[in-house]
Amino acid sequence: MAVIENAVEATAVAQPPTDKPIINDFAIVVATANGTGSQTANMALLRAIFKMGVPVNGKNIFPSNIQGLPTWYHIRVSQDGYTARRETNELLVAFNETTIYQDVRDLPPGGLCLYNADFRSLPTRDDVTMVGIPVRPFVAESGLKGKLGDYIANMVYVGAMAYLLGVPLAKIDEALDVHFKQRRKFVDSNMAVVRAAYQWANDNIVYNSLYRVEPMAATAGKMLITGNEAAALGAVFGGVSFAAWYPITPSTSLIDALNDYLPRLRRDPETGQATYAVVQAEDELAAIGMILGAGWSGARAMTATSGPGISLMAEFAGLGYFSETPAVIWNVQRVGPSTGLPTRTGQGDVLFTYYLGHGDTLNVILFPASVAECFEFGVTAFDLADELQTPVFVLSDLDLGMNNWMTEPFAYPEQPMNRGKVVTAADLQRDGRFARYLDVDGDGIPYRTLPGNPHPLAAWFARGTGHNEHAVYSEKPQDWENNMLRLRRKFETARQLVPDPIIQEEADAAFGIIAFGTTQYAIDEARDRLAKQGVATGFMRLRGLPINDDVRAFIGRYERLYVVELNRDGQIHKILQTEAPEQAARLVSLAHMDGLPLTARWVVEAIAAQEAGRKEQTSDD
Amino acid sequence: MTETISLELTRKDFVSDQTVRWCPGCGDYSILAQMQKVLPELGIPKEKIVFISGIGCSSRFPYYMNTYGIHSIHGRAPTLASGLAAANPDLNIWVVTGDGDAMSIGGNHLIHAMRRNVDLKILLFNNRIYGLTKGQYSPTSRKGKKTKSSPMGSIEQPLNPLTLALSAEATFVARAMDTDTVHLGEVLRAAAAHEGTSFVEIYQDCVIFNPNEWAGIDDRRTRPDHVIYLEHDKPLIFGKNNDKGVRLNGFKPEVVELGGEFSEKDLIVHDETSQELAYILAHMEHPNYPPPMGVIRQVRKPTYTEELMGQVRMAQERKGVGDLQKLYHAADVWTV
Ligand SMILES: Cc1ncc(C[n+]2csc(CCOP(=O)(O)OP(=O)(O)O)c2C)c(N)n1
Ligand code: SF4
Repeated sequence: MAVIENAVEATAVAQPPTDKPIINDFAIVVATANGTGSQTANMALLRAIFKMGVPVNGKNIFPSNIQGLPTWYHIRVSQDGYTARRETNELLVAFNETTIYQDVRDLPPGGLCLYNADFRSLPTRDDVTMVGIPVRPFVAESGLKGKLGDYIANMVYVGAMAYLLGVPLAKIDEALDVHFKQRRKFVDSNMAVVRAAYQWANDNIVYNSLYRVEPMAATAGKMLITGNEAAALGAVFGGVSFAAWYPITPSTSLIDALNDYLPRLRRDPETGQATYAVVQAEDELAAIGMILGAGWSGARAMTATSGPGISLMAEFAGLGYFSETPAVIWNVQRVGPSTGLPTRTGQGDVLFTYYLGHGDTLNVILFPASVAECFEFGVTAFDLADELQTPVFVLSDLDLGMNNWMTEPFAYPEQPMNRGKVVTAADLQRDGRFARYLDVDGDGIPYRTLPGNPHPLAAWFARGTGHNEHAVYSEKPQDWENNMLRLRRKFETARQLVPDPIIQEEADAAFGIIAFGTTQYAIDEARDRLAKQGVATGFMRLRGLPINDDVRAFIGRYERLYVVELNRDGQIHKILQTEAPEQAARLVSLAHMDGLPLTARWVVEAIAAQEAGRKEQTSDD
Repeated sequence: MTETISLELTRKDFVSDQTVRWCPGCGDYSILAQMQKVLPELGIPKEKIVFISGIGCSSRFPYYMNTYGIHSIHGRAPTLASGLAAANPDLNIWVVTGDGDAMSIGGNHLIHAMRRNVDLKILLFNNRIYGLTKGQYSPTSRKGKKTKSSPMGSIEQPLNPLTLALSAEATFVARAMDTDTVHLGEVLRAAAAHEGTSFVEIYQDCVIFNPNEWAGIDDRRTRPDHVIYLEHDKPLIFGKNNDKGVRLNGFKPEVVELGGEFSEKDLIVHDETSQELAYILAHMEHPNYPPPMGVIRQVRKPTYTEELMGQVRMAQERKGVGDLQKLYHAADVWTV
């Protein structure tokens, strides 16, 4: 078996040879202050590169503050299509005077810094190229003052970077046109500054940038969208008719997107009336209460929240589970415990959500890893909730939810909606009997009627207290146990219904890797790096809980498996160990948590350290 | 020569080493400055002062106070503060909260803290918007208010913090404004002096997400014509030239010009002890009326701690001081 040698060197960014240009394979970091409108500028750069056909990914590393604090926007340009965060950025746009010393220090040798030449003091480094551009003259020229002037100042670096990278101005124009929704007035005033800065750079900068973007054809037909927008779109296609929520970063933009799409997409064509309602509740407790009420009556109801909101929902989650009421809860994870790091990403809510609710509660969870899956699960979650008659939790994260990702256009759902076991008045007329919690089919899933069903047998009373098969209050030990055992049978059925894991097997794989959600991108890249060193690996990405036989079988095929996740305690590792106890010893936890998206370098180093440790152990024996 | 250590506190003693991180121009700055100015005057040892907050821009306030404090979770500050007050009656406890924190997610806790008359000073920074989460409407946003989460305008009836406090029987209810710093200082002093729950609504400017909310009344030059400063036992007169007043027309307050048909003796005379008048005043909302500033209601009632102590004392008088040992060995201890 190959030993992973010198993992650090092997994965460190190579120093650029001084004469050979580096095409479509580098990372840019834009340092600005929060609230200065740099998002428009950053999106313009990102979109322009995307429109040149070059794979690109943007990540906003922002503070929990509205205005004034440092913000970094990372743009990764990768001809190979890698989208994970990189620890090193070769290009820096230093437009924040308060962080410029730190930002320049972080550049690798051979890097390039474009700075605002109005700044009073500058760090010096011999091994990086420093290029300054004055900003004030361009703002003065534009005639815009105050806040608008601040906003437009960012266009100066867009123009200069376009020049340095070789991005045609026409592409920036196209990008801004999308950003401003074809309102040419805004596009033109921004473009005037971009053009002027481009020209200035052309006339004054005597440096041929080594880092260049050259057109490719790798993004044709693709689009850029955030996970939250994709989730909202999916929910609309999934038939959402009711949403209740309470504002919280990073889930807010999911409901914002719903509010954006629904008025356009969900109106009754005849009456013109809205066929949905979105309610801003007084807190998350109220939000989940509202959607359970709506879900009980047959609506496709959802909420979106993050860690602190999930904490508040615990008691209602138990009611949803026990009364068997469909509902969909999106948890766009941020970093906890407590208020934690509200604007940073993580995967720390897995254990809590899986068991959310007191007593023996078990919840169904979906793990989207891409914007396409956010869209897909936007639909699937409703189907599962209806089919299983239980709250379904979708665990996304800030990185996926709030950043823009490249994707193929979403496919219109092929399957019709699955509303699960709902009995109508006609069914009751035919059968002549109905018991709400009777396990007719042996799969643990009972039948339900919806309020409004006029048949005399239809009405039943939902309760969080002990009940028998007829939904009648009962404290009988046997009734309690039967019901709880049926709920467990239902959970066994859920194993077959949650989406299968995605598995990539390699011949001669040295070990397996298990992950879920957005750590996928760092792992894809890490596996390629390992493969280049002759280390083949198998990979399984979980897409939901509870796990099914495919998951168990995969674990069974490897002597050891690394379980990679973005939290401190190895939460999915713990769940896998509990659910596959006979294979627990094979599972090695690689958990990491610093609030930032995972990098390939971390994965390779963590695995290399483990493998080296193993080698030592075996040679000691 | 021996050095004397001064026990006098100054503003600087209350300034923490944290860099203040609100948006430039945010109203929170001036409230912070007033608080730091007023505290040293109260003669309370610094170690007895506690600031507790929930989550929101406003709830970051305790970061910047060099005192004991808790930055807690969204909406729940009154629960922590109530527990603390009951357990440590000699602490001087301030709760800092926003309109969303206090009246949406924390509405229930707020009501019950006031109803119990816990010895707390509650400062509600009302900017009628959610600041920290970037501009959704709040329970105090006006009907029709267009925000990100109410794109077609809010259809909800706003809550009035003052009438809510009054119906929860708060024993001290007042209002001040971030930009009116001298008056804000006076109200903070009055709130500090009160025993029981002091509830202060502070109109606060969120320059980013709700910049024009207090237009007309937040400007020093035009303010005298648009707000009324309350003083106990004094008639409700206002205006730059003291030429306007408020009288009662039936049950309705009415703004009148002085000098012609009406004179000072026709005007309402403020009475801080009247719950009825307090309701009338609290309902006088900008821009239909000049909103009242200052102490709307102030009455002395036993505080929660006094009631609690009273009960303990009574029980001891009736049953004698408890003996845990005896209780433990009593025959019926284990019967549930
Ligand atoms: C349980 C929970 N839900 C949501 C949030 C997100 N959140 C933080 S502050 C805030 C509202 C702040 O508004 P307000 O109380 O008016 O204070 P301001 O920021 O305007 O001072 C919300 C919804 C949270 N921290 N915790
Ligand atoms: S968002 Fe509004 S309330 Fe919050 S710090 Fe900025 S100005 Fe102040």
